[in-house]
This record gives sequence, C-alpha cells and structure tokens, in this order.
Amino acid sequence: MKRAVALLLALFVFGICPVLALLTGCIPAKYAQEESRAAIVLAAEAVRAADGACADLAWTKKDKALALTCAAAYDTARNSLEASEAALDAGQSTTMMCSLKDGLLALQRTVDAVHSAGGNVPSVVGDALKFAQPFTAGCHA
Amino acid sequence: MLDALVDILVALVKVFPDLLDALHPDHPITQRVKDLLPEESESARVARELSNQASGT
Repeated sequence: MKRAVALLLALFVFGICPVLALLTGCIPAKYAQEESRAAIVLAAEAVRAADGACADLAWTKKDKALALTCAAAYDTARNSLEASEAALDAGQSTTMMCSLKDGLLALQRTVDAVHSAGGNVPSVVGDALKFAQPFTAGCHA
Repeated sequence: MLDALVDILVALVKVFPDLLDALHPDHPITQRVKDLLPEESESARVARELSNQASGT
C-alpha cells in the first residue's frame, strides 16, 4: 500500500501523461479504444483546419470551384468520421478503421486542392494524417 | 509491477470517482465529431457568398 501511495504521489509530481503512456505500453488492449478515439478527434480537428485554410484561399482568390471542391471533401470527411466514431462506440473495429480511412482520404483531397491552388494548410493537418494512418491498417477495402 | 499499476488505478478511482465515467463516450467532456465539425463547412459558406456576389445579391 505504501508503494501505491508513493507511486500516486509520483503521478502528481510528474504529471498524468507519463503514467498513461506507461499504462498504454503495459496494457495496450485496454487503451486501444481511447487511442482510436484520439485519432478520430485529431482527424476531425484537421478537417476543420484544412477547410478553414481552403475557405480563406478560395475567398482571397474568388475561386468558387475551389470552395466547392473543399466543401464536398468536408462533407465526405465529416460523414466518414461520424461513422467511424459510431462504429468505435459500437465496438465494430473494421468499420471504424474503414470509415476513418475514407475520412482521411477526403481530408487529403482538401489538402491536394489547396496545394494545387497555391496555398498551404496548417501543420496540424499533416500531423493528423500521419498520426491517424496506422489506425486504418486493418481496413483492406 | 502490474499489481502496483492496478493499485494506482484503484487509488485514482477512489480519489476521482468520476474518472471512469469521464472515459465513457457519452460523457459530456468527451469531444464528438459533430461538435467539432459544424454541418456547413467554411468552404461551403464561401462558395455561397461567391455565388451571391456573382449574382449581385
């Protein structure tokens, strides 16, 4: 019990993140759902950031075609990420992974459209694409 | 080592009884995709504004 108290004190001293990382390493299956949820939420943040960058660029260049391309990609990404989240809640891992993959592909279409128009997206978008990609590994569709 | 980690978890739940609830997907602090991504995108709003400008409204 004394050890537990000492470790609990260490938790407060060194912060919760290292302890969570340790737990994740020791019991990966226990935290797989939380990690997947983090990937979905980060992807959603990236979709919003990329859409904002695209909207700004389209407005500046008065490029309606660009805005429509990004709007279509956003709708696809939003629907896919919602489906991925619902599948995660229901414990349907393959559906979760394939829907997340669809969402990331739609996000990539926004990135490509912005780059083609001479713009750039915030770095969180690239980070999210890299972070979330491994969570789609089980989708072979 | 595992026993110590279990002890920590038990202690955490005793200190923070809401901890387990907070990890549940329906808990209010859990971010949801629909809250992060509004139904209408910024780019769709811009496309609509540009259409309005083009039509002079």
